[in-house]
Amino acid sequence: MAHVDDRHLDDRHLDGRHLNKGVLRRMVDAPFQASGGEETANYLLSTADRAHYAGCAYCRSKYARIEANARIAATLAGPLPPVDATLALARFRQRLAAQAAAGNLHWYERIISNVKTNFQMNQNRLLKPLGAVALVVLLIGALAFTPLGSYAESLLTLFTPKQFVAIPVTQDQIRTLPDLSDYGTMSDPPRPQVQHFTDAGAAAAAAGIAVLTPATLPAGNTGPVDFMVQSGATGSFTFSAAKAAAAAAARGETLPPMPANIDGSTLVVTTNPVVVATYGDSGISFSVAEQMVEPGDSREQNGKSSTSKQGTGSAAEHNIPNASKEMGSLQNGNIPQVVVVQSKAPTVSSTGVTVAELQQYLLNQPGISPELTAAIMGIADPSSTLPIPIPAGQANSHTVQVQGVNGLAIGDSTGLGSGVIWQKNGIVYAVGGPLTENEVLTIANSLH
Amino acid sequence: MTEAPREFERLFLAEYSRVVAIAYRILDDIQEAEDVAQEVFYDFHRRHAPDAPYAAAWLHKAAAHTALNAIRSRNRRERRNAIDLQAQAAIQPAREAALDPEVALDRAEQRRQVSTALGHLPERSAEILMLRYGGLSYAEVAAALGVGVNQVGTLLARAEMALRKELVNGTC
Repeated sequence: MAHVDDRHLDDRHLDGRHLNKGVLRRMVDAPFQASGGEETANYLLSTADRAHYAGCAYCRSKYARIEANARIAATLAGPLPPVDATLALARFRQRLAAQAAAGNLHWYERIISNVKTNFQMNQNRLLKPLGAVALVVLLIGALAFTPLGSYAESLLTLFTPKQFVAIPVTQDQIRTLPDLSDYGTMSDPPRPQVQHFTDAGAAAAAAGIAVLTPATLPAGNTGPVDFMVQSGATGSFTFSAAKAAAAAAARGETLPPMPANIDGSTLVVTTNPVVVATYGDSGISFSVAEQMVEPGDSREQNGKSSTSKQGTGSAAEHNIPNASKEMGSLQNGNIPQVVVVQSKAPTVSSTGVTVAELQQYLLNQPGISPELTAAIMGIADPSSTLPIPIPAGQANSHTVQVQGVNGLAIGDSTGLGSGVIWQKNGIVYAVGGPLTENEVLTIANSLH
Repeated sequence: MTEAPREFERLFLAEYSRVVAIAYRILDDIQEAEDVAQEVFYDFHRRHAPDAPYAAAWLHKAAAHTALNAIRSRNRRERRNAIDLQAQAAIQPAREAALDPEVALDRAEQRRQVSTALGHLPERSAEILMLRYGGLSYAEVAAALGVGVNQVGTLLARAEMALRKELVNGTC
């Protein structure tokens, strides 16, 4: 662009007769001719002004500059891709409901809750700013939060995983999965207990597994370090043909009949204690997706204050103290730089139906995306493979060697974050963060 | 707090697409813009009555403000990581992908430059640009910013001048 000389736009040169830049700018949006409507009626020039403009080269050149600037800014304008406000309202309502159900949330639970809401209703936007930290936490969800989770999570953790495969999914495909509660009754397991430690040994004692720690961390990572141990849980689900038929009838559908060996059978899912270790502060906040901490959540008040919603209410309004500088706290809604997850793999037992039979039946339900079905059915050994859903087009995956075994590396497409997951001696490990794959692998391989 | 009462739903359905449009101006990514819209409505829902007379103006202003914060975070990250422009172009709306790729890249690059420049402007300037080019009338812009409608032209002209300067001389 040529050298910009906007001195002409400086109203100080006005001698009182020339048109000021406000008037000239309004002219850009509503030219001389009155075209009716409230908008243009405000901007009609007076007869005197119009006469002045017609005869004034100075004003015309000033107008030209203002108009040129406006044209550049107008590259911002353009049609909006279609949005569905009704769908958005449903998403909004779902968030309120999830909040009510979840109560006070820790940072990783908040991410999972957001990931679940967003992943189900929309493509997962969190993966862009958060990289694979969200992925790793999704894995935590897959490992730890079943059988509390949705149908998608339940189906995808019905195994004792020895290996992992990534399955790209889109939100449309996830939406085609039926609601498991239509098919039977889920027990209501107690909310898991969570404890925090600053020391790996104490965490190991609480979790009942050895807790490995990285020998190397990215340069400049000096903490804080936190070990979170979440207790295991057992839940069950009992299939009911009658319930399924009734739910279908209520929707005006008919379903393929539930095989006799599935009707009445019970799946029991047992998850084991999960250790989530976090190292360092990445300096990245998830402020856009961050939910306000509810007042009265005394655990959260130690580490976080109200998030970056400037101008929309002060911290005092919510009885939350300002961000604490105490050691061991992540600053103000930031995500950690390195996350290491360890857990004995979950197990699933059933009272007679096999994994293959179950998979066959569930995937035969009407409406499920054929691509998703094919991807799941294509798993060679479904009883020992944990499929990990990754949003199609936003994340990629490939096998890597880690700690001497095959693992699955997952990265988001913008290269902002990575994660790796593997299983060794019955323990599932995952390492992730807003780091490159090499950095994540180095950390993973340094675990001891 | 656990329900969305009727009044609120009416407000939501009436203003949702405009809130998205304002955020979309700078974010240029419909999913992110819808995420911002969700946050804005959530924030409003927590604190304000849905039939408040300032409701729409509040939502518009909050959309601009929140999206601006998001773009500033994004700019900081992009300075730390070299993002391949092809990858950027690849996630533009489908409409653009259907065009000649070189043209699409040009337009995408141009829009990216303007968006980035917007993120470097003083907050007031960036906001008025997002509000106006998000589709608000002068009266609505005035209400959102809390100024008289007759000031809008001047503020807009100044903001556009600042934007042009930033594009020519600026740090992007």
